[in-house]
Amino acid sequence: MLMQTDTVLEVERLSKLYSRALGVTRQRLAVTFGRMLLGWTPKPLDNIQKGEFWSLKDVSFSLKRGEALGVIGFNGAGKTTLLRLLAGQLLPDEGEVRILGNSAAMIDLTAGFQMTASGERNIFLRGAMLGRSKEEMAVTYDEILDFAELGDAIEAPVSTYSSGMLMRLAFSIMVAMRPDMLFIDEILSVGDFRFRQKCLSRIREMRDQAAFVLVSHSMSNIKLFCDRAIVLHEGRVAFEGVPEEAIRIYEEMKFPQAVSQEAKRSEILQPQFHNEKVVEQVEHYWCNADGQPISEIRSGEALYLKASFKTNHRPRNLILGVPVWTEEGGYVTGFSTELQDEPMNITPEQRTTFLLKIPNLSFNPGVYLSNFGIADGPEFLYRGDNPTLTVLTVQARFWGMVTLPHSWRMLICNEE
Amino acid sequence: MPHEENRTRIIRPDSRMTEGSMQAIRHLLSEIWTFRSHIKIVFKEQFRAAYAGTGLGLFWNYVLPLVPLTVYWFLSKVRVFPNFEGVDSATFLTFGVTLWFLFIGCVQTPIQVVQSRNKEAMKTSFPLSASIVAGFATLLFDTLVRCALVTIVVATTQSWPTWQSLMLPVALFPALLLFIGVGLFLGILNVIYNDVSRIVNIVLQYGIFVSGVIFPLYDTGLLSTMNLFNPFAVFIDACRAIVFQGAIENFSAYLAMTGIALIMFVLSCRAFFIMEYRIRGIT
Repeated sequence: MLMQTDTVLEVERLSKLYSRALGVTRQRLAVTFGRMLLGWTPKPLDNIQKGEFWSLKDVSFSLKRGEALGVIGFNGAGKTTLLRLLAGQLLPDEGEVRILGNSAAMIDLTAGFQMTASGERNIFLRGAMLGRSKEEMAVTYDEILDFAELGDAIEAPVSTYSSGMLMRLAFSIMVAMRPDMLFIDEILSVGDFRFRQKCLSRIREMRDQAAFVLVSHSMSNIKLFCDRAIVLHEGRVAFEGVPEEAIRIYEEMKFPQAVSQEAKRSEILQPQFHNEKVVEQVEHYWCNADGQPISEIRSGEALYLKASFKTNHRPRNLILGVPVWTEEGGYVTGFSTELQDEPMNITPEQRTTFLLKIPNLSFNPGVYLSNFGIADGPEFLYRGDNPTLTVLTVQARFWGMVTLPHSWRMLICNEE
Repeated sequence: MPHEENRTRIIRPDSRMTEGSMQAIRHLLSEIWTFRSHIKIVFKEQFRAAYAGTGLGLFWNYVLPLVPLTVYWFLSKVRVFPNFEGVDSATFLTFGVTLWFLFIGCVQTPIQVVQSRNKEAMKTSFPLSASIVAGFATLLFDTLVRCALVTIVVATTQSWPTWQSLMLPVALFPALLLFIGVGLFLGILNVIYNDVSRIVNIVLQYGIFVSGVIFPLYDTGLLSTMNLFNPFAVFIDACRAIVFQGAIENFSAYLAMTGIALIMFVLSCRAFFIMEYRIRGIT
């Protein structure tokens, strides 16, 4: 296998065999040990024994400098095994990995950290692991400290850090090393949102000099950050291509065809709930100004939701809410009575009807899912899905989920 | 974590298999050097863990290694053991027991570390070789504490060593290579066959009585022939002879064992180097 110019990673028919039976693993190990003592190379895997399975099978791809590859798949699909093989933490049973230049991996959060030592000491320890001298680390020390935002906690033992702090420190050290290749597991999901964005932004800055393999369950991270993505399924590459397509295939795998729409809808709308002892005769639907149920509407028209129910007591803090999602699960907005100035007082044992009005609906064309929720303060009394709403197009072009009223004016015209 | 500048790294099933013994030793030494600061910290952690939560604290780290020696010292004081080969029994015993614990420590430490840290090694990227060295540091500390007691015993019994005892580290060197080599080899084997560590423990329990630690080596009969093939007996006898008699009595046996030690160490380092990544995660 020859590496092409600017290709920094080549993976060819990479396979890793695992066994659920420890005896089988030991048996294979004994054979390898015996062959090693005799100076022979490992025996090719000709047959799989009972209890063995391919954690990865025939995985091939290559990566050029500046590229980022996303790896998605279910739990147990082989994502972390793939990263461990790329990072050299495990040896494959078949196939080959070729890496040009130095690499760094963020697979396990505690990797390379001595938990009893301070954050400061660990910066130098981790640097030593990556082959950096104390002097080299001293040069980048301030940069690491600045990026990690740990403040005085840098003096404290790492064992006192939260997982978010640990991730910040690990990531800061890693990027300061300027590796040619970075393998990142789900770890970026640990930190807070702002720091995650900071990490992604730093990774983007490093894109010209480095290549990345990113394992994530966050489809938005994969979509935003990766040039390509592979979908791993039961250890094999089910798809390789543009992230959007990879995500679509992954979603399809996640929701098998037979139950796809319903399962996906349920996952987006989350568990439904009805405290029938407190709330009864609940009815809610999208409607027009006349109160007639509708399932379609055009962008820009007024949309209404009619809801009626009866409670057996007077809620102290009645809140009604309608969260809205796109068909893909993107959270669009929510309409809540919490924004009302006046409290919502209702009479117990009396059916009450509410009307929500959304003038000039700004949703872009598409199918929208929504819930109707009734809560008494923090306590949910009811949560049920509204009929699906389809928004039809009135204009040829639109972007994103909503089109807000807007106009452009030219204020200054520079004339030579 | 691998870090290699400007060169292509290839990872495949037969990785490391083609590397020779010297490359394996060089790699292991460089790994230990890279992780020297970590080793220091791990040693400190182990040192602290030994007394953590106790009322007497650090005291235990000094006292516990001395317990076996003080038992034999006491027995020699109550005349259970006669003087051996012109050396006071207390000196004979404490010296022999100190060497014995050093040697078996070299065998047992790699077995224990590989067993207990194998899974962790993959997740923490802290190589097993570095963990083993941290274990050896603890063994070295215990040995130094025992040596201090042996010095006190020598002074009180006035069994003065010869000037040739300065050569003791040289005489010890092949012994350490051999037992570390055996330890590395058995450490790997123990992952494949869990019985190994148990068998080793049983053998060592009996071994102390037939290795010239407590009783002098037999000059005649089957046991004397066995002694020639017992590395513990050969090295303990040689070290004791250098310190108290000034010369190794059975030099040919020592020389043969030194040769075996070198071969064993080199082969074991290679075996460990090749198998380290293959045993990862198996406990």
